[in-house]
Amino acid sequence: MSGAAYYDGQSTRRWEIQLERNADELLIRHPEWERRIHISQIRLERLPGGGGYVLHLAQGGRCEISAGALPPELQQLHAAQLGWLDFLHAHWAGALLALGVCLLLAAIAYFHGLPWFSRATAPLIPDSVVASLSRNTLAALDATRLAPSRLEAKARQQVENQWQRLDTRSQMPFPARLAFRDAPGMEANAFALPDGEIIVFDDLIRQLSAEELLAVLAHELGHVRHRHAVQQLIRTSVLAAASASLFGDYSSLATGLGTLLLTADYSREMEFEADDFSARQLSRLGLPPLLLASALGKLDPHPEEASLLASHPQTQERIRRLQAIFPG
Amino acid sequence: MTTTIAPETPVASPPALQEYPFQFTGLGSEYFRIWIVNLALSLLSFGLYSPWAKVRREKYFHHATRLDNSCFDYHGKPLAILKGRLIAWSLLALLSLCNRFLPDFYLLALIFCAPLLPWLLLRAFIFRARNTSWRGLHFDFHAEYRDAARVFLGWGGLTIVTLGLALPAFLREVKRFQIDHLSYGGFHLHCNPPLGTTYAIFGRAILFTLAPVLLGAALVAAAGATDWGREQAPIYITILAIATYGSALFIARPYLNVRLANLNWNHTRFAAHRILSRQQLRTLAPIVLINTVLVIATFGFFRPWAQVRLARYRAAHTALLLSGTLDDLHGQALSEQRAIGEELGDAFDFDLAL
Repeated sequence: MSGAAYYDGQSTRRWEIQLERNADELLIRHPEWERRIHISQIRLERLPGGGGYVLHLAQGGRCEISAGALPPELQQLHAAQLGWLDFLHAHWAGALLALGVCLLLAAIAYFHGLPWFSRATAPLIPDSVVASLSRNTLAALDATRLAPSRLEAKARQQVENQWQRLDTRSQMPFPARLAFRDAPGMEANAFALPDGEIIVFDDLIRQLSAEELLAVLAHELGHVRHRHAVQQLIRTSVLAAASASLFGDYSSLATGLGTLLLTADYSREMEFEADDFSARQLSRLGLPPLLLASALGKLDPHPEEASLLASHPQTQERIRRLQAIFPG
Repeated sequence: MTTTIAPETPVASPPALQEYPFQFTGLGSEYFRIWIVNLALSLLSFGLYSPWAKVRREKYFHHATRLDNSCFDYHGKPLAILKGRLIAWSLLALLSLCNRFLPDFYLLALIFCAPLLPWLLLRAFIFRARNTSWRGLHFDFHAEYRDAARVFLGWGGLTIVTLGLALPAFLREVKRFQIDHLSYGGFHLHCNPPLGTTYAIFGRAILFTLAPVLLGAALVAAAGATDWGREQAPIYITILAIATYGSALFIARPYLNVRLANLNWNHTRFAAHRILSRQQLRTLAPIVLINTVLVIATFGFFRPWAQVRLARYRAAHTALLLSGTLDDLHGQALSEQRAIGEELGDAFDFDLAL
């Protein structure tokens, strides 16, 4: 068996052939026949894993040539036919370049594209979707980790009074509302649902002064104002889709894990934005903007325990930032 | 008389079948270079390069697959694929616009679009078959719209209505649709895997998935009798959940793939020839396990190697059983050979692997 075979494109019959290049002509030679083709009419492709070459003939038919059997003159022809894309695909330098481009694009997309995209598309999510999502989230939390508030009516009224001082209307995408819950076994906290309902834990009210609480509520109001929860949801969905396509059919585990790690919480930028919103509201009321910093200090008594998955890994950073912007 | 004929052999005196194994010559390191350049260019071009990327990928895998010392080839044209994708994308965009601005008509629009689905899939199968060749001869796909509608709307709808009970039957119909209408050199392939065995394989896969739950439930029940056991219950449940997930991913799913591939291919005939598939869970499961771990650990960058390893495994465990030689294939079929040429251009392309 020689190293080259010819197929005429009409049958599976294998013709053992000899290949020769004669100036501008390719000579396909079989003991019974001969075919001459101008070299502009042929295209050579290398087969994977050193499996040889395929020679496509423009008028139909093909030759398959084993690795060692390609005449040197045709080897030159193959080299001449390669474009820059073939070069990229064939060499490690191209692969490294591509790898660098991929990593760079991934970084740009993650740090710039994703925030921009979620900010731009958040207002496009229909209100009905945001509302039903928020109701489902709260119902799930109520069923598992939250309990009805056990605050006395008087304390509750005091919080309501503070709430009334805030500007909860202008420029709000959703009507902001206040709700109370007891959260046994969870840290003192407050959070905003995507549709504008702000949930305050009993422990938070007990631990903070009235005005510190006001600062925290204003911060949560900032999240509502800028649709941070909706943005966060979009980021999570995009990342889930991206890692699903990256990991392919390998694992929903990897997809979920990756998404969780990458979107453990609001981004620093979102927290800063809500902090600034809080500071502006406090200034408007003639209160020191640093009230939020002091509230944060009380809520994060173990700054050294910050970890990747902590709910507010950047608390100390936020305090320092507020102190830098509003000295004294 | 010394010859014995196995009971399931239908032909009185079958000619001796000769085994032609498939081979896969691709290399992970080589495919990685294609994959990463494809990825970079697709990202840089916002996806517009992806049809060219697909053609390179298909060419690589087709070229690397060999039978009787000849490689397969892929002839899809990137522009045809781009055209198909643009039409499919516009359709999806139209649907989502309808959902946003005319939500009342969305359901109606979906119902109107449903009959398009079998047509799109049919075009995809035709495109794929006609653009696949071996020894210069192209495959073809001969189904009519009503065949596709029967499988994808009929059996697909039945699967939804029966809450998944008809899923094994549906997947069997899809496989039969894909293989039965395929032809090469004028000969049709025929695939008729037994329905009962298909259901039995799915049943066993479900059993493999649930085995840790059943085993664990017994353990928890036993441990629940003691105070110590009750305290530890959450840990047990966590371990159980992980074990169930692992067993679904690394045992049940490979089992399903292996047994269904064997069943479908071993019941496929091509003229007087047969296809032999002998994948084994014992040998495939370690590959799946290692692939999954490495793909996750490398943030997806091991994927090209994983795909090559799987392709090599599949090729190595599949063979063609021929009565006669491969050169005969065509000799008998020459008169029926259809001219397939310029019609290749009209294409819808989806990634539906055979």
